Amino acid sequence: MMIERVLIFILFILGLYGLIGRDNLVKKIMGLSICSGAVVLLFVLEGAAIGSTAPIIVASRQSIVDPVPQALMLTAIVIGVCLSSLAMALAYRLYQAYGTFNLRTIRHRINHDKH
Amino acid sequence: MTSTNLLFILLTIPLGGAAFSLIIKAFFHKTRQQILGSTIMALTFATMVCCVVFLGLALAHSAVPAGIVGSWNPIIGISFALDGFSYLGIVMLLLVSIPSWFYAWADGLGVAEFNAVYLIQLAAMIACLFTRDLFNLFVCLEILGISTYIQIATHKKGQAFLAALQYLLISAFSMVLFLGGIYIFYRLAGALSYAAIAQYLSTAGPVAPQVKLALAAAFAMVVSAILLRAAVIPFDGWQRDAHGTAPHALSSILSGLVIKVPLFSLMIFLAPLPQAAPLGSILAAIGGASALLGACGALIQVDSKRLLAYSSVSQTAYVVCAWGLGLSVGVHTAAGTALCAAAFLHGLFHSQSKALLFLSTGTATDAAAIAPADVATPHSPRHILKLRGLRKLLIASGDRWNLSTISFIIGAAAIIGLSPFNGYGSKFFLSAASKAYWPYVLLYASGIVTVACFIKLGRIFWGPRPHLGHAEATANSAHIAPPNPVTDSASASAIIPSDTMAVPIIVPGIRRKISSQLFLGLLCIFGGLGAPYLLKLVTMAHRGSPEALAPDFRLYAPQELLLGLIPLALGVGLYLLSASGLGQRLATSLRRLPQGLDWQFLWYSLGLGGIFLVLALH
Repeated sequence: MMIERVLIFILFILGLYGLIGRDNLVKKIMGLSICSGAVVLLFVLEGAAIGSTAPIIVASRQSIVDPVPQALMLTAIVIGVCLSSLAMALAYRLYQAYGTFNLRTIRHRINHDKH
Repeated sequence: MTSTNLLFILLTIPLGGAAFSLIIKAFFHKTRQQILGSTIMALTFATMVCCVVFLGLALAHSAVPAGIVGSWNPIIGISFALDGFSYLGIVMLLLVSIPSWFYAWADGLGVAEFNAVYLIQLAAMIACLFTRDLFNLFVCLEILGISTYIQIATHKKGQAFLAALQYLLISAFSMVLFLGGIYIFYRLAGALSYAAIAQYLSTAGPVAPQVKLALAAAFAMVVSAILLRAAVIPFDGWQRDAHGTAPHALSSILSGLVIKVPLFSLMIFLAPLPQAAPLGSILAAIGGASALLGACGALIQVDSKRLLAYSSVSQTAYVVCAWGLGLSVGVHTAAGTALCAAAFLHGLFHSQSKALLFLSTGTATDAAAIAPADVATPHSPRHILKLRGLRKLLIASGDRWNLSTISFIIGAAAIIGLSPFNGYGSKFFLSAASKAYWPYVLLYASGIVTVACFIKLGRIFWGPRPHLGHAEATANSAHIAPPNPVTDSASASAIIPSDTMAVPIIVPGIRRKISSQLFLGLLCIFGGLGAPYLLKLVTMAHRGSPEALAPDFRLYAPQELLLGLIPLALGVGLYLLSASGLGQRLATSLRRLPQGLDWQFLWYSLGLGGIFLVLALH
């Protein structure tokens, strides 16, 4: 379990780097999706650690994995997709308005327009 | 019909209204869309008001509706409850969202997509208040967030898109960490209902050091995500751009409701937890500092909406501070009850007065923006230092009785805490309850700075109007957005006095806008007059029993009224200092401090890390 958790942590840090370290809006959005994906994986990992068989409750089946984290993460994934698509739509509108995805350039042009 | 059914109907109505709004958009012509869309909104609001009234009657006579949605197994079902506290929160939502929508409709925003998003946002806020499940709260907050990002971008300007996207990125990241907090709670408690988490924490006893660290991390992640939504310093970086670029009606909703509802949810979650005391101390410190820094931030602004946005940071921080103090002393003690009740009352009153201020200032700056020769600056029609004499301009714009100026005065007096407006009542109760604790000094200082802020903002209504040269006026006219196609026929035919304006001005929908402002203004007045009774009501809602009444404060005693004049006098002095050359130079240099997304992430990380460290070391 430890190696999986370390890998998930690395994945999260990778996403965080994309979100904070890059100026390109698309890369920021991808970074956010990777961060979100890392937490989703952590939840699923937690659920899978309890049992070994699929969570179908019948008399003959024992030792099922915890279904709650998986159900929760399905919802989280749907929300993540909504957020990513909305973020991409906003980034596209910014691209239409300023001709770039670079956040610093966009902010510079907005400040230039103000003054 | 049971109160539980009524509760779910209350949640379903706005969602149904949103669906119908989109159906109208898909199947009807544009001219019919307006009429049908407005009718649906009117019906939705009317039905919701009826539901809330019946729910109130049901709550007064029967038990609190609570249980598991769909009667599922408690392990996998979603817990809900509507106690008095949540109920009053829902009343607050309706009192502000209905006049704000009416204003938006007058402003020409009441199109199908806007209405749909508005109602989804309202439903998400209602759900936040009565859910008792942490993952469900996450879902509700995300729905609230998504609808808010869309609304911020309503103006379809580059700056609005950037503000919405920046808010989305930092808020979504904080919610990812919120999910991380949920993971830790689930791992430890095995369930995610508030009751299950509280039971685990109560029965766990002394925990291993690694569990203590995990709990500190979980609380830090959950609390910091909520504080970001509540725009508390240092988590507030997104708020000034978002509130500054959104349309006025939406700014009023954002400032009045959207930043408060997550805070109320946090309070509901934290109140029964045994670990609430150390968290409360942190919240009290953050709230006190945020109240003062937010007010100082407002004082250095030159954009009217940014000033109001910073003021919201400050006033919301009063609520955070008082709740924090309440949690630290124990919410079920007499002092804790008084603090929590005063905090809730301040949140309720601030939602009304801030909505009123956004709307009245917005009406005035809009009047300046469409006046060909009266725009103060070609690039910022909301520049506080350059706008003057809007009182006269409003008369010429169809506001014959200057009701927008009067609305502004009521809103400003309420925020400052002048008698008999609602802010006086809530600030009086807050002062009385928090006097014994050190953050009171910060709140008092913040009150002085708030006075200076609103004197500064109020000056846009008085003084002579600047007369610009023809060339500049032409440039201004070119810069201004074209008038809204939805015009109020009544306001269009308003008599414009020839001695106040050389050029006739038509402010679209001015009468409907004034009606919204008047409604909120009356709420501010009646809230102030009935503050002692409302405090008793909130105390009952907080403790859940009619016996637990608040102490009998002497709200309008002469010595209390005289004591209230001291911060007023100090505020006037501070305003004069800020308006001096030195004050202006200082404000200009402070406004130039970096505020980009990178800095927002940095401040967020510092805040999160700070909360974690304090909890871990406690």
